[in-house]
Amino acid sequence: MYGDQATALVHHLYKSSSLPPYKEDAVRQVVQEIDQLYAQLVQLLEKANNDLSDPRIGGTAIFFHRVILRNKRCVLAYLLHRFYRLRDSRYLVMDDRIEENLSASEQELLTNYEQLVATYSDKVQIDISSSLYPPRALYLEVKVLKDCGTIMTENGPVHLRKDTLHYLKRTDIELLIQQGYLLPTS
Amino acid sequence: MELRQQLYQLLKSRRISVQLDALNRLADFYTNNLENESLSAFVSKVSNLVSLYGSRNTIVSIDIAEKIIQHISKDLNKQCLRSTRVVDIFHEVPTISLAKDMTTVCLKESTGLKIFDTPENMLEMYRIRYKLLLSRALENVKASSLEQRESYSPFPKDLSYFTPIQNLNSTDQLHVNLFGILGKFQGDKYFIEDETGYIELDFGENSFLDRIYTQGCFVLLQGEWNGRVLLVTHMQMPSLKASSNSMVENKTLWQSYPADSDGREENQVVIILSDIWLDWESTLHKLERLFRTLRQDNICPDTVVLMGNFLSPAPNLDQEYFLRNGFQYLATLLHAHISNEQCQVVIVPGPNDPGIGEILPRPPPILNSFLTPLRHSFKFVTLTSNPTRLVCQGTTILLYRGNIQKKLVSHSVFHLSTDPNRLEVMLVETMLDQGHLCPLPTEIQPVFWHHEQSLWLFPPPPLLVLGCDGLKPFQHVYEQTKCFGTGSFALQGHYLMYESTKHHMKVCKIENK
Repeated sequence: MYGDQATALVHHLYKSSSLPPYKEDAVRQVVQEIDQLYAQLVQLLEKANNDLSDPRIGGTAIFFHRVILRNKRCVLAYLLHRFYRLRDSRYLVMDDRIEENLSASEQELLTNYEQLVATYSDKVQIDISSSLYPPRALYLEVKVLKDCGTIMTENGPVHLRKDTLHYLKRTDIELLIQQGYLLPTS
Repeated sequence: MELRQQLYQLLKSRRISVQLDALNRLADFYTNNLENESLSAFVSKVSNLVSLYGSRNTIVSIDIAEKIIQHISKDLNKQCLRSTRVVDIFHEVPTISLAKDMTTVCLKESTGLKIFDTPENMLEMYRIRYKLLLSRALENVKASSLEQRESYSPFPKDLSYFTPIQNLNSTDQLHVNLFGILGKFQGDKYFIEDETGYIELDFGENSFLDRIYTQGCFVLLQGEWNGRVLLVTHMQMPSLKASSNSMVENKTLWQSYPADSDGREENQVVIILSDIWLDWESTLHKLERLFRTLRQDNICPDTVVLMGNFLSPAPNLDQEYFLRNGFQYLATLLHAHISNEQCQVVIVPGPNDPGIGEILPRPPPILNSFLTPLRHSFKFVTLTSNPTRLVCQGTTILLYRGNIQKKLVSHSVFHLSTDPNRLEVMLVETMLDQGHLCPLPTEIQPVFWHHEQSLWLFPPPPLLVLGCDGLKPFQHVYEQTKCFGTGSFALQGHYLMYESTKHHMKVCKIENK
């Protein structure tokens, strides 16, 4: 039935809590359906010489048009919601699997978005990607899960070797925790 | 804030964690190679490349940093391939220095920008030039080529042709040949000085007008010593003709970027303008006519060299206004008429432009903010020093904008003829014989001693372009060096055009309307 593909596309995203793989096939099928419906609509109107006074012709034309609009809206909603989830996941632990689930244009979009955020942060001199809630403690005890080598902190360089415990300033290691190098023990 | 700290913060804001050694490597690379670029632009590049060479979720190690640096350097070189290269006088000119045994010289890489220097180093500079010119004078230079860092011994052991000045103390009557540097006592008395001492000179009725002799010049003298003064019978400069070949191969000194990979040499056109008085409306009209004519003739310059002064000599209260508006107009003009996106605009400061006054080599002075419109229109806008060196497909062009002829003439030992054609020839030959763009002592022409060698003409460049106030455009060939005077664009509409495939430079003119 017309519109089924588009509904399935939105449902697919709705059912998943994280970012599912991009459904290239489904999107393409919906677009094909739109093209097909548009061709039929044009054919119909040509046959009737744009005369919609006959309710059978007028009804069919309106039906085709509404389906086209609905399909388009579903695809746009799908793309937009994916971007929202992608944007939000940027501040959480972002594992490599999420990157695998992106389409090429989404990848580009993410890069450009990050670039914009970074440029803006540089201009206003505030790291707008940091958490909005104040931390409970300034320092954190962390366990090193993977070797990090020597990193720079506000208080000087620190060598983070695997399976060692450190008591470090939260702002210095927040990113490493998100990247899965460190694990807070407290 | 320290650069490393800034870099760390910027990377962090882009959610990139980096190891300490990688951070240091990136900071070093930025300082040495990309000073003209903003730090955040550099970090953006790094951020893009991080996902290429590793995952965004891994910490940037030294290996990844090296790969990123290689990638950026490759891009930089690609940009340079398309354009003529501007040699950074303060960082890239290798220095000639004396080895420990004081008889050999070697080439060292430049140590970078240094404003202050010790008197010992200043003496050292004189000593090296003394030795080089002495060897030229003795026609004994054998070294035809020299690899960088390799040392050689050009100075002959037998120096008996010239008498050391110290030896004159023991005699009252002697016919001598001397080699030394001319100096001036108070009043009109001159002396000659070498490594061992100095004596007063008496020129009598003689005047030597083959070159412009001033204090600070290295000369060969012949005369009669009478126990008190030397009566000079003959004087000449250590002629460039004497040294049969260039002491140091050009290529080793001014390495150019390799040509395009397919070996095809494209014709590069360089346009050189001097005296662009942006506060004169007629100059702006002339500029427009010039670029329109170039476009009509299908000439698309790869490099446009704009030499100062950028304001007319008339006293001007609102310099900033004229400079800002002038460069804005210039940017619009160049953008409208030059279709070549890769065109490089090189800006050489003139003696009257705002900035550090008289000291040579003159650092790039014009405020960056004036050039913002130019930077918007062209990717490659280079603010460079005065003098400056361009390397155009292996040919070095040395550009110097200064009123050198006025200084030399006003400090000349002898009264010079007023024939301007002769003056130009004398000027060029004096400079090349002395191996120096401004062979005057430091009280007349102050220099940054650490960078004095950038004013030297060892080896003589194949093309020397001089922009001097009050000199009409000229052309003079002396040995291997072709010298051109730019003339004034604002006054007469003269400019120079160089084509790299033909190795040909010509003086052109835009007619006054």
